[in-house]
Amino acid sequence: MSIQSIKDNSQGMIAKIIVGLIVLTFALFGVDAIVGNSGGSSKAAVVNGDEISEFELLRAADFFKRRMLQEMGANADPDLIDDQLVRARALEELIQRQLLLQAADEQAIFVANGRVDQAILQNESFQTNGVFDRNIYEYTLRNLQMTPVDYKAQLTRDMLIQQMQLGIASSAFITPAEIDLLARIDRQTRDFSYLTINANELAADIVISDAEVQAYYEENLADYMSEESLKIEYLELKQADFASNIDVNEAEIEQLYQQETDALAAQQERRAAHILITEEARSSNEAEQLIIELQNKIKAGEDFAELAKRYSEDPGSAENGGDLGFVEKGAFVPEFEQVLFSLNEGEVSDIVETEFGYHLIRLEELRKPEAEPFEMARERLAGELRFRKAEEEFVAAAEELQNDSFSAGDLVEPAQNQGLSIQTTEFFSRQQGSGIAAFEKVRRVAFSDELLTEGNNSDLIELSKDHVAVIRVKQHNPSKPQALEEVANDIRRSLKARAAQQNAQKMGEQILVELRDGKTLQQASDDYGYPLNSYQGVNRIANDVDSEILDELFALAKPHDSEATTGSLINSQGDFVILSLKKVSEGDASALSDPEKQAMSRILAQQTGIQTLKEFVSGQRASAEIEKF
Amino acid sequence: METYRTEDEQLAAVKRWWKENGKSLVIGVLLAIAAVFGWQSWQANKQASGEAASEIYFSLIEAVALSNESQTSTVMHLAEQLKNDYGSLTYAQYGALLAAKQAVLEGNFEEAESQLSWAVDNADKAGSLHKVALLRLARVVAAQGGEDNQQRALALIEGVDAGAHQASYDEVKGDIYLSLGREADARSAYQAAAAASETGARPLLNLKLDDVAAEEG
Repeated sequence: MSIQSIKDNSQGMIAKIIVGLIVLTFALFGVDAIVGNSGGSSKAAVVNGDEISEFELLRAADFFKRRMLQEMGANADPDLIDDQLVRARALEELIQRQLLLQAADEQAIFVANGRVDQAILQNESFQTNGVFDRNIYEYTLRNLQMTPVDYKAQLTRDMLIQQMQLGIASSAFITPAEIDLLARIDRQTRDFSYLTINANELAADIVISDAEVQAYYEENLADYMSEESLKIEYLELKQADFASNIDVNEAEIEQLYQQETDALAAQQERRAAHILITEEARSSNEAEQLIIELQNKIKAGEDFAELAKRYSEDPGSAENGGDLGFVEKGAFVPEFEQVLFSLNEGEVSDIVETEFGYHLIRLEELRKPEAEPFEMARERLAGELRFRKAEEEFVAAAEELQNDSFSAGDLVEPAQNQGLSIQTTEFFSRQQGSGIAAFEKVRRVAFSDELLTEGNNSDLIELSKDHVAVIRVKQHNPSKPQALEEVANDIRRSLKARAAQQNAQKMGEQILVELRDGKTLQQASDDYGYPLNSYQGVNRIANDVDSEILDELFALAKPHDSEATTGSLINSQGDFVILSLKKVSEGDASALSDPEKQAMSRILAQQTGIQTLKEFVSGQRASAEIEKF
Repeated sequence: METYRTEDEQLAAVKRWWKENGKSLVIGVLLAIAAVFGWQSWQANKQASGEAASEIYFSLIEAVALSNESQTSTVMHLAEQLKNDYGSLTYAQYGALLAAKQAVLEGNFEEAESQLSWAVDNADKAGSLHKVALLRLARVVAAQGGEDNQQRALALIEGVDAGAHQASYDEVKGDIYLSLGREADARSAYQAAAAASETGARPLLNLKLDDVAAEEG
């Protein structure tokens, strides 16, 4: 062996070892070990070292926004949604999810693969007629910008989190002792009386001078500004206006009808059965002999299904008499399909040869959607044609209007080009308007700098799918101070009310002092002439007592040693109310029926569970290291 | 570093090196491969056993969700299975929590107490689950009535730093003080609960607070 060859060999050896090591690495750790799985996408946040990518955040925010729009209804304006806010909320949710996932990992939570598959198969939104439909599944996923692998991974994560949440929340309970305590509090009744020092009655004697009004006006000028308002002129286009003068001719209707029936025909479904003889266990010749024999038996009147059961070598269908179930076009190899689709119902085919062997095919059943007779479809089709044409014309006109008004200094020329008349609104404010100004979008554009200060025509405003407008400002009333005479009466009235309320309060506080010194509320009522209202056995939801008074009543300390407790409040009218609580009768859980108790336990246990879960999450959050970018 | 004059010398050096170290290198590689395969099969084992526990756990959740006393033996059996076969997994602790709920539902506080005690003893002391189980244990003890039990319940949770669960702890303390007739202590416990509550409104806590209101002034 020459030196040269040893050297070549040894270089070969080293190369082999290196390649071998690389192969081994791939085999044991997968491609990721070498290539890494950095998608290159920037990160939105890092939660305890786990990244949330910008892509994930965008997807979540998009999903959020779509859901909000759905909740807002058909005419929702996407511009109204604050993208920053949506983003922040979506990120918050993703962070929380990440925290829960980490907790699930720490707690060694698992989910069986089969359970995830089952959840997909049983999800009603992927089903047609109660059966999983792969097309719908894939379509939905595409809409969510997800691959099936992504989706399964997400579902797996959901189920990990869910197990933890269920473990914490659905194990929550309420004990009978706690029900007793709550019943005691919630079902208790109170005996009390109250008197009201009516501010309004005190107002009559109060005189407010002009100087006071003047001073108040000057101090609070900002509150007495007139509201800024606008008048606009506009051009609008509605698709409905185009529909009325559109003609459709007979030929067009017939063409559309033809398209529809063709589409229906393509949806035909056939239930096929077949007998398959393969060449696996015999020669080609023998197979051919056997299939001819079977064909003769069928011709002689023997039962196709029986023969299929006995002879067919298609393991999937032989058991069922050769039945293959309903199929649409495209399910079988072309030779098979061509024959199947030429058969009449109940007819058995000639011998068909495919890559699998020899077949005899029987069309068991033909299911085709019923086509509507032309005469009946006619009106509907004409309507649809009119709609389509109107839509086309509307879109074209809208585009033209957009271009015209962009280049024009006012609306006159665009109006002439389109044969429209310029319309004008009443004055409206930023907050509300009528007619076309009832659209929030119109008001927002009208009050924009572009229109208000620059005096331009607006862009085309899409009010709905079939309604657009272009606007410009006609007249602007800026906000300005209202004259003193205009508002003097208002000011006088509110100053009077304020003074009256102060007097009522002064009066009330004086009575409170007297009560503290030993006077009863009854005596105070007699002394000052405020009528006393007395109640017995009032519960928390009594509807014959003002709710402001009820709130105060049930927040009062309980009377000790039969000495009444006193409380007071100023109600929304500015009246001063004094309460005297005489007696509290505790509620009694034994008065509750069993079903009542059970319902109460169930609801309270649920609330407790949710509360515990929230605490769990906030605990997780408190100890987490979160970095947002 | 040594330098070699010719390729032959280099080759000779490599051969020498191989003779000295070849054996240990081969053994090292073999050991590494064995370790990787061992690790992988251990992981696979862990996954399979975790999945099995998860399936039992789902059945348990379903049984408890029926809120029906006829499910008790099923619930207890499944929870027991988790404890016996998967005691090292958190599933066993969740199993105990769920079994305790079922026991409370049918008024068997002794059983609830023993399930919750098991969860308290086996949960990670620093974790949330330990706090949750401990508070539930105290509530079940208190539910059995009598001053002894109230004192026992109080001893379980007094002085515990409950972290994010502090508000719930304080509220339960308030309940126990109230049954002991210590109204002023109950009031301060409820007030502490309200102050610690950062996870949203607690309507029941407000009711309780109002109910122990002190007279102003």
